[in-house]
Amino acid sequence: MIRLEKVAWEADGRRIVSDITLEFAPRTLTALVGPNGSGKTTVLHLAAGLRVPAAGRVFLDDVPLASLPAKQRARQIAVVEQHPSTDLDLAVRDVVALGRIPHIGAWPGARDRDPNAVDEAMEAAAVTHLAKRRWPTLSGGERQRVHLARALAQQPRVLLLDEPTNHLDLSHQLDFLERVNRLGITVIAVLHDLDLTAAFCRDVAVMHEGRLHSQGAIEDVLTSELIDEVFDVRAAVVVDDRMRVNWSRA
Amino acid sequence: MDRRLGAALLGAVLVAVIVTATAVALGAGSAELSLRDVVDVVQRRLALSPGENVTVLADRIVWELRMPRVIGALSVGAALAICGVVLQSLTRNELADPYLLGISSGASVGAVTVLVFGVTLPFTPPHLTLTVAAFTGAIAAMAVVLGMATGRSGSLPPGRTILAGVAVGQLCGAFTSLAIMVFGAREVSRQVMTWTLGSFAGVRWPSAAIMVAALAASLLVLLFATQALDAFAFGETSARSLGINVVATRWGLLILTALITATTVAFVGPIGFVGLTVPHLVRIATGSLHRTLLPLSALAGGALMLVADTLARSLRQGVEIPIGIITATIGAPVLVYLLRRQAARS
Repeated sequence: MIRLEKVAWEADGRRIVSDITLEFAPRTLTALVGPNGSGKTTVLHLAAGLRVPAAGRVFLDDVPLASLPAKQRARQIAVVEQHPSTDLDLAVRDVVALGRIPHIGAWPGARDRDPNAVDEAMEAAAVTHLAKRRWPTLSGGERQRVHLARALAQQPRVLLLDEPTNHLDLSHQLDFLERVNRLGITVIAVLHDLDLTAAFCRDVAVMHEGRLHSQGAIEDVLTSELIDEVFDVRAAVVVDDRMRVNWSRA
Repeated sequence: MDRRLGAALLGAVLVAVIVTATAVALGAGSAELSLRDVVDVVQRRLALSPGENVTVLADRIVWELRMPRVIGALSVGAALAICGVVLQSLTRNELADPYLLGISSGASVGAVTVLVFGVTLPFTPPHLTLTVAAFTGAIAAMAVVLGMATGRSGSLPPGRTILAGVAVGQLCGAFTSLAIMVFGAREVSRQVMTWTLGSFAGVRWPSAAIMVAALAASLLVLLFATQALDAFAFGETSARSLGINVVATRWGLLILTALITATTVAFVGPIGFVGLTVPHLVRIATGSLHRTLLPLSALAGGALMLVADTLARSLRQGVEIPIGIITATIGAPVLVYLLRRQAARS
């Protein structure tokens, strides 16, 4: 699936992330966790092909991402950004239809080969009832789901989510991740909430100070030692049928 | 109302306005001609009738003087409006207009150099000197702005592009003021003032043909770019994730709009407000998707410019009011009205 090989990225000559070697498991939800500024979003954007690595390479099924034409890449990888916003007065259905751009020819009057794709994506993200609403009238949670629908309309094999549960209340967080989990495609999500991570993800990759700290099955990685070292929080980890992370500031 | 129906309706209304305004514009002016006369001339010229009752004078006025002017106004209005649409979308800035890249101020430098210093250009017939100088100034300003705004990786961030345009514009403005104040005779400053407010008075068939060609070429290119422009709705990263080559698209479209704008400025001077307001008016009426926004803006821009030009030459007998004054007088209140209505609804 998606594989990063010794990838680095820098801004204004400053290394933001370096030496990231990482492979994401197919058809499952992998969490990308780490403290603020540890490079999670950068790694997500590198994996999406939105940024060009300063060193190293990113592969999609053994094809270097950099060699894929942008349109072809967008038919396989979709991204939901942190706070996508616009001043334009767009209808929800039009926003979701943006996801079809990589699938439609650019010539005037080009038709979509899959006329149901937009409706199906709206169904999957539970925004069908919002179709005619205008973007400025939506709540934060609704906007997040509309952008999930837009990403799904791209019919991607890989879906990258940057803090998708931010600004969602608890029930919407659970609903959002359950929906994503049901898709059966490769999903990589930057998450802040370790409880949610434990509840929904089998795999986790931990970023720390611009480097990949560790990666693997959640019960092996999310230990109290790691949480102490990376997040500077003393926590007790209780393993039951669903992983639980309980913490207490020492 | 359903937006698609609204768009079709607006398109029909605009076409009707353009047809009516054309008929009025061909008849109105210092020599009043009846609709009958106008129709006769046009029919004869299009070989639809023998036109035995057409006088030489009517033919000359309608076909040689007024028709190119009408066509010039329609094309320039349409071109400025679509350039405004494209630049507002690319920069995600509601205040972007076609003169964003310092084009009008650069053109002014060229024009002032000719008007004040009486410069002549090699290989250029005297009646085209002003046009060529203005065009050259506009392109030079655009090149400086783009050069200043470009990043190391060739990216063209909108914020820096806009600021570079402002800086170059101020510098050019300083030059034109200095040239007029220090070297210009009183009569020259009046000429410069008139030029900077725009006029279609000098438009004849050759220049009208060039403007039509520029508009046609740009419309053709832009109809292929409607999706790419839509993709910029949520910003650059989002456009990239939808498979748009952001840097190439920005460069290509900025240079295309700059060339078209420079062409219009060279022939008729900078005419404000059409490129700024028309995109907003059409957006408020029919939404922001470019496959409807672009063609409707072209129609609305053409209609507004034609009406404004007809008013400019017929409001006062024997005197032409600079068209920039008319476009601002019509455009500003309409925009304020629509914004207030939108504010009241939201």
